[in-house]
Formats: sequence, structure tokens, C-alpha cells
Amino acid sequence: MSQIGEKLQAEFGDAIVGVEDRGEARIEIKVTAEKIVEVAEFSKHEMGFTIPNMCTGVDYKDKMDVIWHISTPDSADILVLKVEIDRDECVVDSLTPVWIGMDWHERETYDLLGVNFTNHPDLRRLLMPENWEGHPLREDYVYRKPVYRKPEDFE
Amino acid sequence: MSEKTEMNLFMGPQHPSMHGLWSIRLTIDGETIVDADSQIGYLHRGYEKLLTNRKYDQGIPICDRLCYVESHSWSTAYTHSIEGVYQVEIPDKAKWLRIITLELQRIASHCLWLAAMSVDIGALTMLIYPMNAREIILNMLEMITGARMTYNYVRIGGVWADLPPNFEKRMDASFEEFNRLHFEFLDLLEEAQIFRIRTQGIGTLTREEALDFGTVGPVARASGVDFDVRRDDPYFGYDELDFRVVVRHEGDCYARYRVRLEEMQESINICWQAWDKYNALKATDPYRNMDIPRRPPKGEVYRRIETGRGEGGFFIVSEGKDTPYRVRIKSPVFNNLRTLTPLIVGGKLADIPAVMGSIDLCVGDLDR
Repeated sequence: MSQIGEKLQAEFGDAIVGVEDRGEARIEIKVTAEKIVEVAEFSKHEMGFTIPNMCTGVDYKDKMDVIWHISTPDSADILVLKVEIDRDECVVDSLTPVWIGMDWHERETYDLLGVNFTNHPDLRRLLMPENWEGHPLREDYVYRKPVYRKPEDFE
Repeated sequence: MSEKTEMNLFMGPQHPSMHGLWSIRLTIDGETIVDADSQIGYLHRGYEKLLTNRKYDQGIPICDRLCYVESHSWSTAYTHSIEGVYQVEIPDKAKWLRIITLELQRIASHCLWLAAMSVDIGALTMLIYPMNAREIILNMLEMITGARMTYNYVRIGGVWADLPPNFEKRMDASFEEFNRLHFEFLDLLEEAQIFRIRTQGIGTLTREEALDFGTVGPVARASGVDFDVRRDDPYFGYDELDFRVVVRHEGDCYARYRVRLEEMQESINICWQAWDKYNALKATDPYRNMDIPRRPPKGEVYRRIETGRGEGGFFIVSEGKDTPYRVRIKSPVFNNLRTLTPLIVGGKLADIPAVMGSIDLCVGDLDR
């Protein structure tokens, strides 16, 4: 397990902020936001992490974590790529160009948590109505009667 | 005649083959599909928020309602992840009890899929036969858990009840009856040429596509991806059992149908092996670990199990409180349905029900 972290650290150096072995063949790699696409490309093509498992976000009130789980058909290993981003801006590079299967996962993360993925081919709401306001899973979301934008405000 | 002949068609959510609530926006040119866009979210109930508002054990009966076809798999998946958060072990007896019920649930789920898919492509008689077979399995599950649809059988640290007396006899008779029915409906479908014409070579998914879209379960295995969570990331006691992972390489609707059919037989095999292991234990052995700490430690856990539709799991972030801080449900259908657009684009309109049926949709765990 630890050679995955060592290999990524040898390749990317300072871009890997932290490596943590969570046990049960899960290895967590914290990456800086700038290098995430390169690390993803490397882990897909050089290390065999070919199955996009899921993408999600965790809202910590002062920061936002965006987490991608990638698995491989050859073993039980799961690579957990984690990027810490600013909660107000909430911009991170999309990994959909690397694994097309991340498409809906990133759309859902945008929909529910308001993470804006750059370079995503089709970033629309997925589960909520297209004219919904706000992102329901954010910690500061206020539960109230749904406020819809009028159809004429909406292209 | 070089005019533009494309038109838009909304298929669903009221279309009879749309298994519940979702729809596709199609662009068609004659009978050929030019573009497709799936619209999901009609059944979005906000499970991830529901679970974070409740204590860990209060979430288990809710997860039973995640998927109405195989509720037991989902409550087990959630409990399995909670046990990862709490770092508790479950006794041996609970492992075998969970495996027996999980495999029974898989058979029941595949039976319902077979009934639904056959009806979708016009084999209307086939609605009845798999439903009869499912009834046998549901009766067995009722005998173990006391319920027929939402079982609420698992608890943190084990299960709530042991097997009833005389279960072996019941299992023997039930599986014999099931096998008789199984081969009966096998004949009905396999011999029907229309069924083969409508499924063979339709909706082909290559291995590269299957990997790139992150498909899981029978859909991936029908395309030659040799991966099964039960064997490759074993949980409970699956690593001590000897079973075959069904893999086919054609990647079409027929391959997906065959994979699920053979999996049903394999599940019966697993049930008997698990029964043998269970039988070797003493009757007084515990089936539930009561030694659960009051609050879990901090941490992040992702654990997965193989549900009937593929890899289902829960990602839980714990802040050390008695409620989870964040829960993310990894749904197998969510990944599998994303392949629908590449599968149907370029094909004919009439192939959509066949392709969709072979993906085995459950809108409950698709929308969460």
C-alpha cells in the first residue's frame, strides 16, 4: 500500500501535501489544487487506477474538501484523492476529462454543494430542479419553502 | 430531400418501461437516435441529509427504504460502514447469517429484474414465472427476518435474530422448488428467437468503456471486467467461501442477462456453503456483538459490498459525535446508467427498453 504514496511523492514532490494509509487498502493522498489533474492522469495511466468510483465534497464551514475515490480492477486498493479548496470561491479542476464516469458525480457535487468544476464539459444541476436556488447540502443552507426562479428569468 | 429531419422526443417519466421515475430527452432522426440526455432526480429524497440528522443506528431502517427491490443489501452496506467507523468486529455467526440473507436478497432482486426486463421487451408471460420464484425466496427471508420487503434485520455488531429451527429443511425444499422454476423459465426465454434477436448484439459496451464509465456489478462483468467485491475486496466471510465470478466478454444485453442468470445459481451455492459454516458453530454462540462504544472515533471510512446491481457503499465522515458528519452513498445504478447515452445513441428507438432493462434500474438508489 505505501508504495503507491511513495511513487506519487517521488513523481510530484511538493504537490503531494499528505499521504495517509487509512487501512483496509484505502490510501488517502492530499494534493494541491493546481496539480490534481496531473496526479489523476498519472494514477490512471501509470498505476492502473482505471475505475472512477465516486466524487464527493465535505463542507467544513471554514473550508471545502473535494474527494475522489478511484479503484482498480486488479486489487482491493482504493485511491482517495483529496483537495482542500476555499469555501467561498469553491473552484477546482474537473477530473471528468480523465475519467468520463466522474461526469454525474461532479454534477451532483456541484448541485448539492456548489463546487464549481472548471473544464467540466456539461456542468448543470443533476438531482435538483434546474431553477432551484442554493445548494442544499452546504452547512449554511437555510431550509425554507423552495424559492423558484420564474421561467422568464431562466434561459 | 436534404431537409433537417431531426425531432425531439421526451421518453418518460410516464412511459410504461421507465421503471419508476426518470426520463430521457431524445433527438431522433426517423427511428435512429442521434442524441440522448438522461434526466434523473424525480425520486431525490435527500438521504445524505436524512442520515446526518440521525444517530447512526437510526439510519439503518431508513437505508432499508433506499432501494425497494433489495433493501437488505442497503441496510447491510450502511451497517458495514458504521462498523468501520466504530471499529467493531462482528461474531462469526453474524457473518454467516448476513451472507445467507444477502445471497437470498440477490436472488430475489435478480428475479424481479428478469420479470421487469422480459416485460419491457414484450415477453409478457415471463412476468409471472420469476415472480413465483421470487415468492419462494421472499418466504425464506420472511422466515428469518419477519418481513417481506423492508427487513431491518441487521444491527451494529451483528443481526437481531438467529435462524429459526428447521431452517435447513426449509432451505432444501425451497431451493429445489426454485431450481425447478428456474429451468422452466430458462426454457421459455432461451428458446424464444424473438428474445435473442432483441438482445444479442444490442447495446454493446466494450471493456474500455465499461472501465472508463466506472460501471460495476453484472454490467461490468458482462463486458469482461473480472471484478467482484465479494472476491476482490472480501467482507464478512466471503474469502473463506469458494465461488465462481461469472464473467462474459460480449458486452451486449444478452451477456448481461446471462451473467445475472448464472449468478442466481452461484448464490444458491454460496448459501449452502455459508450454511455449512454456520452449522459448524455452537447453538449458544453469540450472533450480536453488544460491546459497542457510545461514540465513534474521528475518521473517514469508505466500505463497500456487492449488491445485486454492483458495488454499493457508504462514505462516512465522523467528527466523534453520535451522528455522522457527512454521508455519501455510492450507488451502483448511478454509474451504470451513465452508460445509457453511449449505448443507445446510433441505435434504434425500439432498442431502448431492452438496453435499459438489461442495466437493471432501481430509481430508489439512483436518486437517493
